[in-house]
Amino acid sequence: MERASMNNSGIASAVGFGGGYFHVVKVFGLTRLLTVEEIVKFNTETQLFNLTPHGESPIGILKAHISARYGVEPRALISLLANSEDALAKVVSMIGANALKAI
Amino acid sequence: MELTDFIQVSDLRSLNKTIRRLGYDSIEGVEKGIPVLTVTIGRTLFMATIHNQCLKLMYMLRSTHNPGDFAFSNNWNMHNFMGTVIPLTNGYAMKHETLVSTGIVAGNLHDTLTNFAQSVEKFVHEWASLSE
Repeated sequence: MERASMNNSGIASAVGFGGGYFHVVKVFGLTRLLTVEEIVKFNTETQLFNLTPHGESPIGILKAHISARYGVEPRALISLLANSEDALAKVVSMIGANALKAI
Repeated sequence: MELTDFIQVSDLRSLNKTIRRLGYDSIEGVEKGIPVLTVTIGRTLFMATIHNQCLKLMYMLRSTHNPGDFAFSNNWNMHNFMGTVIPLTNGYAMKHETLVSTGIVAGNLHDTLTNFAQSVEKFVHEWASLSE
């Protein structure tokens, strides 16, 4: 249910390599500001990914940066992408699907 | 050990051994009942554990006078790649995780440790200039 809501919410995802890091970033629009408690709780409890609020027309940014100058093992990459989906599902269940809006 | 070697660090003991082979000091210990490594790189000390298939690096900045600042933490998290900063009632925690359950390339582990240590140093410097 939450994943279906996410798909309709225009979440932008990007993966890339730069500066010796492999980056996974997801950006989503919000109908309200994230609270201090939500951000601290998420960043304390979640592995690999962190959550950062941005702007007055608020967006949330979920990102992970992995040192990868010597390459990324395919299985590790797939696990990282699966973890990014889990992290996003966790954000949505924490703030409620109606707090998301298309960017 | 070659930096291109693919290695398994499935437990703290093998992680300790690997960190030493990469040329860094690492001591096994216990923090709040959890086995941890204390890693020393230059002047920077931080903790390393293996938790839920990840290598977790953690640095605590304890300030007796001020609680951690939320805006400062957000700003750090927005602009830096290494280390998620979490404000605490008595300072800050900074952490970084890397998946190691499928193994890790030695060079990437070396970079992760070095970059985290540099990030800790940068964070402490920024915090100190803010607190002046």
